[in-house]
Amino acid sequence: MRGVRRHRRRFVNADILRGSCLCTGVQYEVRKPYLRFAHCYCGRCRKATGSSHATNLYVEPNQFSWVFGEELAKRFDLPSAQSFATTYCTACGGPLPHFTRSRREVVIPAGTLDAVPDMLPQANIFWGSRAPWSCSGEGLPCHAAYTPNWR
Amino acid sequence: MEPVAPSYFAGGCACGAVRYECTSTPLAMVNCHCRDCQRAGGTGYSPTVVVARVDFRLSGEQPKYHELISVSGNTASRAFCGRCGSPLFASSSARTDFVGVRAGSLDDPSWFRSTVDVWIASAQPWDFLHPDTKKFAQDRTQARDADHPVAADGHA
Repeated sequence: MRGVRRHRRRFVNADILRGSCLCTGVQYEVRKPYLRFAHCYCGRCRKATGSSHATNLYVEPNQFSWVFGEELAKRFDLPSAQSFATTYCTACGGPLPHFTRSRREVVIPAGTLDAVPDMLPQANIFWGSRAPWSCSGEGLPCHAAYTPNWR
Repeated sequence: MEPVAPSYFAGGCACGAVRYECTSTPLAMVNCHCRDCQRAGGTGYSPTVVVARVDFRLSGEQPKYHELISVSGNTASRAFCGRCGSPLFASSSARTDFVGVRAGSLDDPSWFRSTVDVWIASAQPWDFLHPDTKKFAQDRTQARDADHPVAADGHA
């Protein structure tokens, strides 16, 4: 297991991207095609990430696989929510990809990727819940909730 | 008008198991773009409220802690909820009298205003940088980031 993290900033045109939690005890792979890439400004994402917004890459389940450490991953389904869930590493708390409750999609927290996907976010969702201190999000279409073609 | 940071504030994780409160005004507000903060939240950066440890108290369940030697060489201890995984706060072996609270975990994060962005050398091209903050390639002991100008669109 690598103890040193590499700071790679280049866009990667690879068909396979890897990612991991903070302690690198859990590693995953994600393959093209990506369904979408979006910033989410909802209050639940704020609590789950501790940040102003989440940035997530979405793929179909057959484009995703665990490489190792899946046994350390723990899922949390927010009881008061219809669909909100997270998965995180029980050793370090770092977020990990999670399946939607419908299991139709996998949500990849972009900060856990080892490299930069060759796609940029296309939309700001739940813009109405945006914290005033969050970044401007200029240049992207903003949606009160999901985009019309979300699914 | 810019909001004023309060002298009392509280917060907690997504499921409510871990709670904290702080009884003094924040010492600083910083956005950190290091890879560890990105992985700890799964996001592009950590908006961080720096508070005095003596004025920071926990209630409810105890969080879990994870320690890691950071790129600065110090040991960072990060607290997260053992039930829902929410990242909550961290401290560094370099300044044990400080606690860095992740702003998204605050009950009312509306007053948060970062004045500084640090470690922008590892800022992500898929996220934004605030146009008006001071930028540092690494931490605040390093040279100002003249070598890493921020693009007009806010990307690193």
